[in-house]
Amino acid sequence: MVGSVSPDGVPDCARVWGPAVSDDGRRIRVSLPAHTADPLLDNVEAGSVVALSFADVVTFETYQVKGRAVAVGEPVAADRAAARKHHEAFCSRAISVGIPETVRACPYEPAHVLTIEIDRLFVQTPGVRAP
Amino acid sequence: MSLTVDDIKTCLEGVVPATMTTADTDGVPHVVTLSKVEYVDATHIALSRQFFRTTVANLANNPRACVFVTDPITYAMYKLHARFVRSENEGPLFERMRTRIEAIASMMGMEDVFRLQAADVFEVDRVESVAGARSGDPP
Repeated sequence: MVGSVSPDGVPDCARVWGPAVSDDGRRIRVSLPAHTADPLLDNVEAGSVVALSFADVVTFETYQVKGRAVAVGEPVAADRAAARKHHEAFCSRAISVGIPETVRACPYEPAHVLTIEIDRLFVQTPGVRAP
Repeated sequence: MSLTVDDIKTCLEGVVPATMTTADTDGVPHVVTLSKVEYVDATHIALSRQFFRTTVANLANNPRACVFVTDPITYAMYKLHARFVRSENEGPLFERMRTRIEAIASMMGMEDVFRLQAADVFEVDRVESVAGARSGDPP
């Protein structure tokens, strides 16, 4: 999931797919289906910090990244493949803990790609030490 | 036709975890996964506060939140644009949520982790169907 904020302080959240970390570990690319682009892209264009939350639906192991989008672009073949692989893994894990097969209907085909420069990365696994 | 919380009650059954975004006064968002979104009435929900220090701090200064919920049958997705109203740490709502959280925690073997601290009540300003998903019509 990705969180963003409008200039007047209204938060938004949306589902993103296929995270890919750059070789130097400083940037991360995520794909946005068309239905998640609004108002996320408007918020990013206005300078919003974004928060990316990655959680394993079975173990609840969770990480959060804070950063800023440094590029918005069109998906390439690698982005589509990463989104498809992530979607399949997500559905398999979700179904394994009892979430119905309809999870496979969750749209994931990329329409846009965000490149985010990582400012902070922290563990957010549930527990008394979670931020 | 505008949707209300009544239209998306099946999303609140706790099958698919919900997600909430809040923001601090500097405009930095924070995302958390929620164990339970509880139906209160057509315009209010209650969220389980367990260990969300940043979220609690954010809501103290900016009561706005966006809660992302999913229908477990159709996988239709909705955003609830909401505003924090109050916290309850006793009473019928709190006890109802505590019982459900304990049941969820027991199933997951996380009884020590999923301990309810408060039921945070939010007023829902708007229910938005996430276009492109298998939504559009209320379940």
